[in-house]
Amino acid sequence: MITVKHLSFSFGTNWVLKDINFHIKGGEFIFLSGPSGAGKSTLLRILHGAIPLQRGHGYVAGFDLSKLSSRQLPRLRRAVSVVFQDFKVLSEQSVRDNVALPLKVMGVAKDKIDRRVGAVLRGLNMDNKFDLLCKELSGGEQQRVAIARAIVIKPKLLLADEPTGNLDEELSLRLLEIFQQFNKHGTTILLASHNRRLLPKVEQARVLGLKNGVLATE
Amino acid sequence: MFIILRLCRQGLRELRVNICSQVMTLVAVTLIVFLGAMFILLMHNIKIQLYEDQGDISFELYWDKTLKESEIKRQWQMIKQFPSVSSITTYTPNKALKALSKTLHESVSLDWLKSSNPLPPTAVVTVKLTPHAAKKMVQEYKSRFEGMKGVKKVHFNPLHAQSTSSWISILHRLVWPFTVVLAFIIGLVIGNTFKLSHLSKREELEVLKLVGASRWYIQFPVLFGAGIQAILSTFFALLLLKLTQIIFLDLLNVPPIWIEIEFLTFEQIAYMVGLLTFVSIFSSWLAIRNY
Repeated sequence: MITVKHLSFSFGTNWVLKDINFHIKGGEFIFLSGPSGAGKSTLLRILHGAIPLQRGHGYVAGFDLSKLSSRQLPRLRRAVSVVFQDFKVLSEQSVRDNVALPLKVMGVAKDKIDRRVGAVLRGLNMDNKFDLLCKELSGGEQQRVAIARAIVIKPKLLLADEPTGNLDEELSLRLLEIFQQFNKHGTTILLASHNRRLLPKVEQARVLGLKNGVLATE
Repeated sequence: MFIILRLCRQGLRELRVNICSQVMTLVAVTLIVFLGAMFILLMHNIKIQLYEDQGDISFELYWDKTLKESEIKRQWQMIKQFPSVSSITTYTPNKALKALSKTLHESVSLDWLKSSNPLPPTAVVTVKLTPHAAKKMVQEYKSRFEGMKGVKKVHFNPLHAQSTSSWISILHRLVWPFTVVLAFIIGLVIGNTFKLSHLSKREELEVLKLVGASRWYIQFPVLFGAGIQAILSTFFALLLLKLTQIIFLDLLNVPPIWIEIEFLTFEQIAYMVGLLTFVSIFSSWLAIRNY
């Protein structure tokens, strides 16, 4: 699913990632741990195509990151979903519209969109909040909307960048359970977090530790 | 084709989001276009008045008295058909004598001159000059009239032709550069207004990019919406302009001014719509080109 070889990245003269090498198989649950400033977010942004690869090679869900054209980028993003710490939901739109967005972009028929969105939101216990605006939701609910939007397209790979960063312990654990469920259904999960207390909660998870831009597998 | 229609519908739907912001943009652009259109209307009417007041020249033609009257009358008919001839006033020798008598307020009897009338057959021909070719036209008509059989003398005021060219030249040299600069400034203001109006869309465009929307899917509805807003703004601005014209129509249509304010031509309106639509779409594209 993901293969990274000798990946390095710098912002100017500041080397954020140094000679990173790892491989993630399909269906794995990976924790990318490390303190703030270790380079976790930068690595995820590279894997999602948000910033271009500078040195090395990266293959994500069948896409070669070093040869990614502007036409291929949207296709990569339809295969690889991402969840952020700050949710990135459209606050002035409803829960339903937010979750339906990726399906509309893909040109899915309206009745199919309604069925899928309904199923995903029910799975996340959000079925009574379809028509509420996202700005009317709590932090945990908004994060669930972001997750729903990420998984409604049934991605091969889900990248999560500090998804529990703005949530309390209880919500964080619930979120982890949701991720575990998706992982059981075959979605590869790469979850970046500086919260080491979450690591033991997912038994089958593998940990990649990042410190000062250098990777060590724990 | 179907995808383009879908994206157009999406663009129209997006105009309903943040309706306050869209209305403010529409009002701002409408007022700016209205001000620009007022200036164009003013220049348009100044130009019309200039052409009407300065754009005519009168030639006085004097025929040989020995030429047959039928031949002279035939030539008068021919002159009437010349292009750009707006009017011709003709005088047979007797008619010329009567006109002279009238100018002397009939205080002096000129009946004794009837048998040996010294006045030649005369015509006063008014020609409408084309502003850019005034001098050339004057020379051409002078040569044409002088070449006509029996025409002994052609008289005109050369300073009049000069004056016409000068006024037109002033209009073009002074006004057109000013118009271009004004159009540029208006374009900048409108462009900036559209750019700022898209700030509120940033969040949505970021998310669209995130979920894998293609560049076309993101940009086309925004550009289409901007085009629609530009057309609507121009429409409302022209409505306001028409209302202004109706209100002020008779303001200058009084003696001795007699100036009727004319509305813009279809060509001018088409240019306005085209230019504004281009500016709005281009400035919107500048605002969202990285998405």
